[in-house]
Amino acid sequence: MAFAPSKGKKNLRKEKGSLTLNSMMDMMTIILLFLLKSMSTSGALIRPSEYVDLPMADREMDPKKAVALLVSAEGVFKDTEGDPQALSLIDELEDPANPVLPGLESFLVERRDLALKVGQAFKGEVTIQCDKSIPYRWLLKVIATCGVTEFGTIDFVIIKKKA
Amino acid sequence: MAFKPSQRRSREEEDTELNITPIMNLMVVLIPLLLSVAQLTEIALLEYLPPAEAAEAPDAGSAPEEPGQKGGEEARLSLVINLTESNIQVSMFNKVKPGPHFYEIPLLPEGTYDWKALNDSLWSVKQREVGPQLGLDSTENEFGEWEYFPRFKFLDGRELSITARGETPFQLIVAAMDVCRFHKEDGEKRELFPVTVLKQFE
Repeated sequence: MAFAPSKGKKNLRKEKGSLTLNSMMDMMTIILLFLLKSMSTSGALIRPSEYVDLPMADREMDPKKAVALLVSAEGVFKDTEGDPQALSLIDELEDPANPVLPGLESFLVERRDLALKVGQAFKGEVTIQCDKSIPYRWLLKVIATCGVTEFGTIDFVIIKKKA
Repeated sequence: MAFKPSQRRSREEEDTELNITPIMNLMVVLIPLLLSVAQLTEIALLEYLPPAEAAEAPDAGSAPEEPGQKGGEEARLSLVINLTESNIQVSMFNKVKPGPHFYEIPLLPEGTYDWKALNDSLWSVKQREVGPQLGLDSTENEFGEWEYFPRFKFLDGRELSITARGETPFQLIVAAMDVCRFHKEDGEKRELFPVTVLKQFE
């Protein structure tokens, strides 16, 4: 049988306790400052694609906005922020009769013509996120296709080597 | 003039605490947001400029140029490194027979390319064959901007071609491009051949 609660205890005035948030605030402030510092504006221009494993190199050149392509083990894709669209698949890349890739060529020609049509200065810059395992022969075909469509500045996205 | 506080004043001052709950709320929102956009790996660009039509492979019909020979045009070094299955071949002046202008760097015992030996060897080529910088050349690009670059004894004194088998992975090509760019000596970076041209394996 449960005893009746004590009358004295029932009327005991409870002190209002307050949570000390100071240490938590300190921690949060440090984390916030660290995250703000590590967030760079240039990094936001190019986000590494989840579909490719980028190679590592000792380079410092900052990313810039240009026509973006993805070259993965499945083919060449138009990089559209999370939803890549196929331009040239393996059959085109492995076709020895084709030194250039027709799908990629038509896309680049379209981009070049569009830039000229709207009066933009056409710099012929293309940024490629290329998987580190893709064979050299594919790479040469991509470069050759960029060359014939007047995209003369090719930038490969790499992961910076830690010093 | 300020009045002296009353001696009879006995009211205790209450502790006032700053209400930090709204700031905490802001932090709780900001931190996950920044974490979601933070890039833990730093990315950069590796610039590749395909050679101009005129500067492409030498005329197939002409005889290989002798070292230091100057024809009507400025002499070319034609430095090529070839990544093969068993070694790295280094060739100058289009030579393909073993000698001072064609040699091989064997693989390391663990079966990987000896990048250190290649880097040292290219530094030796740069000093022995290319020599010191002779001055600066300038050229106007298609956008009307002037570009300046160092001039050497050879027209292609900063250039190197890389060839490899078709199945060579891209990471190895990038590694080769890195190795051919600079030589570190006494903690200082010395320029080697920063302009790389990717070519078909022949």
